[in-house]
Amino acid sequence: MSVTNSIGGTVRELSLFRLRRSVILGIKSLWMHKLRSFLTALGIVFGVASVISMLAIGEGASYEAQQQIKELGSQNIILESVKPTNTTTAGEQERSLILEYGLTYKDISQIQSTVPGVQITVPSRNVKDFLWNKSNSVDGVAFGTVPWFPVMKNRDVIRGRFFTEMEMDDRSPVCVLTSSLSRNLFPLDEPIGKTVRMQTSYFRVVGIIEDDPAIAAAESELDGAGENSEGMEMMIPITTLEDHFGEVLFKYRSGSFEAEKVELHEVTARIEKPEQVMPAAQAIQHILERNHKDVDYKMTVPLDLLQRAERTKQIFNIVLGSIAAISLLVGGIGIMNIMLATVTERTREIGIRRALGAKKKDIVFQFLIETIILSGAGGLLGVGVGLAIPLLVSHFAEMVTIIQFWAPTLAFTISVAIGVLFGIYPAFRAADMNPVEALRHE
Amino acid sequence: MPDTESAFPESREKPAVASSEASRGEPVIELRGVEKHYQMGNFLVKALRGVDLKVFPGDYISILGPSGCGKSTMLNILGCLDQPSVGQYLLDGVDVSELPDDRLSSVRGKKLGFIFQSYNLIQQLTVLENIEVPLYYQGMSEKESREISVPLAEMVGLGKRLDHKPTELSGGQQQRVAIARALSNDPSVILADEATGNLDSKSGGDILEIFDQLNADGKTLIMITHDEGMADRTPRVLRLKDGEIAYDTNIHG
Repeated sequence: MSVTNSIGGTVRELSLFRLRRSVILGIKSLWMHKLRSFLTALGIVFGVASVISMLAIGEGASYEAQQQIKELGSQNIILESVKPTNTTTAGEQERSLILEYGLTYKDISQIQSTVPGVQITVPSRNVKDFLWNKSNSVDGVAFGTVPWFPVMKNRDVIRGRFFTEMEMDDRSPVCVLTSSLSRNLFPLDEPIGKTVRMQTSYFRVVGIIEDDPAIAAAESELDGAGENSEGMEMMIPITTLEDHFGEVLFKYRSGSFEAEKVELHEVTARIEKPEQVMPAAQAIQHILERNHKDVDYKMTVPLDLLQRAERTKQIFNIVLGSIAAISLLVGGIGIMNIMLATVTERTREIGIRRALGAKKKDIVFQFLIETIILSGAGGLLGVGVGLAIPLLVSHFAEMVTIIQFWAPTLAFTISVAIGVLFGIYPAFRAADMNPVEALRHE
Repeated sequence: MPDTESAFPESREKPAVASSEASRGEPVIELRGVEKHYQMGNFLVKALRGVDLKVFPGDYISILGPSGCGKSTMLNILGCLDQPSVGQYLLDGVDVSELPDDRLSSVRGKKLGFIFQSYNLIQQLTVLENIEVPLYYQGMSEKESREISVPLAEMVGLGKRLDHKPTELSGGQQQRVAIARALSNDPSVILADEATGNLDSKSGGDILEIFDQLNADGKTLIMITHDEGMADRTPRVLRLKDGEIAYDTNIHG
């Protein structure tokens, strides 16, 4: 025998090269049963993919809702006039030609003087009629409001400027067009400096403001089909509106005149601090209840909606998360089941390895590595599938999906953790075998 | 060895034999009053009933006996796969009879080489990788293992089949891989359990020739067999009967 060796000088337990060899060995063992390994990993693939895609879909849905609410302004309270139903007392008794309803200047002054934290209010009132540029007309709205409207409503002035406080005080006949109105009324020429006519009044265009995002979104869903008076707004100082169109609005509808008297169509109140929003909303509710016999107004509190949306999102995420977690758990049980079968099947191999010097921890390590490879590979594949599903959902269902960077990381980590968790028991069962009996196993 | 005599006065060694052994140096294996008991239901089965044995470096021994005589138990204990219920087992002068599991694994990996009746190669590994298994568990690097495993594979005549899987080899070839594996860690003792039991006489003869050669090179071999023909081949023969050594060439021969 000329072979000599140098055991002892080269003992480097659990070093990196050893890990590498264990991984290679694990892959070899799993490769011997390709189909079985693949099917076992499939459980984890689905689990991880469902965690990622469910989180992405849930996140996307709540993002959409929150975005819409945030457009309204989280520190705003929005009041709108609503035409009361026909069976109201006022309508029956008076049989008056003029229907009077909605928010009043009195409401506003009371709100501004009594509700704490109300910083600023944006009243608005509108008149619906045709808007004319020479012989070109659009069914639109004269929208009377205040100079701080763009700031409060987060609307950008695209070109020119918004009207000023001085112009409001002077009741100047100036107007700002929404971009869709400007496109329809002035398809070819530059609108700024031109005049727009409504009924018998003329208004000079000073600027273009972007469309209401909520209406713009609704329009795009309808693919812009049909001319809609909604969004076709000519914004003028509220004082100018009162001067030119009076308080009573006449409408000619299906052969009969209808007259309405509405002082204000919409009021937006901004509250100074976010924590004051909910108490202020309650105070405003009280004032309106006192001033109005009929419910001819509607109050929207974006913050309240936002909080509700947040809670819904949480519940949604918990439900989706638990479904995904259950599928991961099922995947883990599948892995454990297969590993237990593998351990039994490889009893003899375990016996051989023990006889040739493998310690218990070597056996534990070997089987644990195999389980981790299985679940880790499943996890990686699952991340791939999980990233693809939200894309498909976005594409075919036209839903917003958001993949947060931590979701795939978390899902993959969980899959490896499941490998460890469900691999421990089979690995220890393998290591605890009596070498003598393991060697005798057929 | 007068000191051991005094420490174990019940030892059955005869002085005449002790003197002839003294010239051969320290024993590799020394069993002192080894017993092995198994609990079978309400019965206590004594598979070994007080075995004393000394194996010296370069010994070539066959252990013979009918089935049920305690051969397998003897092999398990000699191979450190099991530990005696009573008595002491010294391997290279170290008492291994009460070592914890991890230490016992190390002892197997460093000092013993196993050759089994059914070869017991690991199916998913190649010839070379099978030879390297004992080295792997001692943390030897791949490069160093290669330097040991390749010459061994060549020595047993499988130099051209290094990357074959066990299923691609004949029984005789597989057993030669097992021999190379048993030699890879340069063991103090090689234990062969019915090593030719699954082979035809031609392949079996080849294996035995390798054993003879190994012993000629100075290796210590212990073969467990029920084949009476083996008794003529090895210089020392042990016969087991009812858990005791009934015949030992060193004593009776």
